[in-house]
Amino acid sequence: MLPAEFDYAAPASLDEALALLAGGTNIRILAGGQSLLPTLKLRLDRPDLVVDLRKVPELSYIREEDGEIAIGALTTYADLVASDLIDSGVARCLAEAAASVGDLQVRNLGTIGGSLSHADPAADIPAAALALDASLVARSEEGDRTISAGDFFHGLWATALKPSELLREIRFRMPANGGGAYEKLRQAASGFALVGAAAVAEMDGGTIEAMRVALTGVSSGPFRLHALEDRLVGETLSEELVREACDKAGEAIESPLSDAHASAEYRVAMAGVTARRAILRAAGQWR
Amino acid sequence: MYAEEFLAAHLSRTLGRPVKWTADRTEGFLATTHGRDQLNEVEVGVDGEGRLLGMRVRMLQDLGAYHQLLTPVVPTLTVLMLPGCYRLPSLEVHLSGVFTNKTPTDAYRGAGRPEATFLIERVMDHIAAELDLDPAEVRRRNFIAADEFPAITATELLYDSGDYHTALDRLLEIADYAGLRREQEERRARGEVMGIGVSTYVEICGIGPSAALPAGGWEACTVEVRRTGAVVVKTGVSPHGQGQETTFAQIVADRLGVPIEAVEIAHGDTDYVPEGIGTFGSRGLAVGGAALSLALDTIRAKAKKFAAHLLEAHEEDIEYEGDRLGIKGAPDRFVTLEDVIGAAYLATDLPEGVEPGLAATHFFEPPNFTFPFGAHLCVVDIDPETGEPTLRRYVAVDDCGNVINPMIVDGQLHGGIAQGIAQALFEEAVYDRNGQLVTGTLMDYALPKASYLPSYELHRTTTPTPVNPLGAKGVGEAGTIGSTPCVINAIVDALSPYGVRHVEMPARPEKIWRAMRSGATE
Ligand SMILES: Cc1cc2nc3c(=O)[nH]c(=O)nc-3n(C[C@H](O)[C@H](O)[C@H](O)COP(=O)(O)OP(=O)(O)OC[C@H]3O[C@@H](n4cnc5c(N)ncnc54)[C@H](O)[C@@H]3O)c2cc1C
Repeated sequence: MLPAEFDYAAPASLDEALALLAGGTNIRILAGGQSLLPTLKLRLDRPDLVVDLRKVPELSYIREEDGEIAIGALTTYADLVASDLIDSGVARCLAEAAASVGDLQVRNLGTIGGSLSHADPAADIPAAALALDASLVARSEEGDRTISAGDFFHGLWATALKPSELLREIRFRMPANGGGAYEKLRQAASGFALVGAAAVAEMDGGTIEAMRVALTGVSSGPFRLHALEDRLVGETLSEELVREACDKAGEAIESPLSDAHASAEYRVAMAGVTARRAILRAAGQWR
Repeated sequence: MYAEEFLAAHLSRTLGRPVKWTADRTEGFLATTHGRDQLNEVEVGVDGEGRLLGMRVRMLQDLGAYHQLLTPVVPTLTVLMLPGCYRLPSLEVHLSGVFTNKTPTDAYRGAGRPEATFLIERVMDHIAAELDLDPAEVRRRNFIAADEFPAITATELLYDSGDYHTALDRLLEIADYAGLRREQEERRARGEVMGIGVSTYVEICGIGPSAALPAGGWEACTVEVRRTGAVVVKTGVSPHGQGQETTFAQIVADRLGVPIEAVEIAHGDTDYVPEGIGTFGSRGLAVGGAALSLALDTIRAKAKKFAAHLLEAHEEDIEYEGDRLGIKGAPDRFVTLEDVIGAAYLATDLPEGVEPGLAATHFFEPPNFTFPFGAHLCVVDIDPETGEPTLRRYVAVDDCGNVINPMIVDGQLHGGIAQGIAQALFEEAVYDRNGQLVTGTLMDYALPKASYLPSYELHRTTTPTPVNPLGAKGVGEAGTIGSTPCVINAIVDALSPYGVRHVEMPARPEKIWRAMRSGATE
């Protein structure tokens, strides 16, 4: 199918883009187009205006600032995969999540900001953002508003962003003793996660100082496994410990998803497997 | 053929303008045709050594909502090919086709043969499991032997030629089957899950004698050697990606001694090429190429007449090698094709009873089908926790008779094997309870991606067919036919320590995971 008619604008600056967003309600931002265009073509969405962000110059970057990584919303998956900075420490869960998205064409166009704003329940990046405890910087004409990843996702395709806001930047801490990993079972057609688990560990020798684990693909949105994390923090890392802790990880899933691609039972069982593998790799980097 | 194609033509006529019709993916999924969708129940009788005594099959074909071009022909082909490569003394089949409210089924690469091959090749593995024999050995014991060809099957087909033992033996040697079985034992001892799948197949190609096709099974070809030296071939097979522009040009270059660049293959425009049936049923080369070959025979014979006349020699003494037509035993006495073309078109000094020009049209009527065959092996590793299968190796020995262009043959096999693997592992048209197609886009319908597939190791044996002058059998569907049972056999082999005897297609990770947990058949 073809999209319904819409107006199109390609602002050359962030301010211009924000002014456009402030001027209406039924407006969609175009970043990589990898979710927006399919949605428009299926006529699941009929915006009046599409604001193309790709001519806004100041939105694509990966920077290190005061022990934090800052990533511009228009940074593509391919940029993330190619970055040495992202392929290290806790950020590695983001690098692995980005590398696992769809296929090369999608990774060349799709953006980190687009993935987070779209909030598909089976998207990879949101799990990594939760595990990284990232801060998401929204911007409107009123200025910046920082939302923690934990407050950002509101279920199926819903986020904390207001219509007048766009997502400008993603930031997270890069502790020196941290490791990250992302594990995923793919839905064979799209590449989306049947089950995805992101883990970030901070280690003090063999002791787990901090642990954050998030799941995606298994229910209406990504979420942290707080009980599992609590069970691990302060303990000495061992395979038995993690195995035992993860065996029941799937029980934390509220209304597990069941569809043509996988049953709820399988997703629940695989949540434990992927979580364990991600945790062991994330923490193992610091053993 | 789809209704829209007729509509576009009709609209074009009505409007007097070109009309283009494009279907999007979802339309393609919903409103064209689907493949396969057969349910088969099999009973097999074997002797103590695993030799087939008889088979009884109850076959249920979902026809979908409408009768399309070949809808009921597909399961009929399945029935015909059920005996596979084996001596099968008796066969009873009950075939029922049912109309449902689903998208119609119709010919899809392999059209009936993949279904037959899947069934008989699963049967072979079941026999092996039941009698605790090696699956390769069970096949060997049941093969029709090389010296039994031409062989009549239980379904009264006449297999033209074959050497199934050699293909399988080469396969097992190349793949180091014994070594793989040893590796499997070691890995199993370490708790790893590894499977080796073997399948052998025979299929029916070069379709076919006119008696078997409602619109005729012949093929037509005109060859015109123009006065400029260009050779124009007008073929009715109408290639659309199969590569006959290349293979036919190679044959012409070879037989007439002209550079391949001088050959033009014309097809598709019925103003220009009025007669033909088409390329399907792996018949392009075996039937269309045979018509070309006959036309080239006529042109060579006529060229020899001109050469004999120019050299004042007997026609029977003329040898045609490369572009030279010379007298046997007298190497310096020859004319070239160019001289012959000159004489044929100047026509001032024609041989007795010979017309000017150098062109011929022939129709080839195949006396039988051709029956290519082969043996495939693959190795699969399965993640014991998630059920995810990884195809680690894929080795194939295929025999499609004489090969004109090895790269094109390999290309057909690559695509075919990918397609067959995909049927085994990924592809499925899923409907919900209300009959709504759930897999209506490529985000839900899983096509194989290059990264899901191993590099194939392709090998050949060559057993020419006596059915056509080229000795070529056809290879357009072979990969699709051999690969599906090969992959499922490997998965079931991998899961056999869990007591699993069968897994239904597509063998997605969850199905494999369930089979490992329950040990039962799915
Ligand atoms: C074939 C295919 C396979 C895929 N496989 C996967 C996969 O395996 N894993 C996965 O996670 N995803 C997958 N995706 C989805 C892909 O990751 C999308 O790119 C991503 O979801 C959206 O990013 P985008 O930059 O393309 O955004 P767009 O499609 O341009 O936008 C998506 C939505 O987000 C909004 N938006 C975009 N940027 C911003 C912003 N800066 N601020 C506010 N709102 C914004 C848009 O208005 C729109 O509503 C796949 C997509 C395709 C086509």
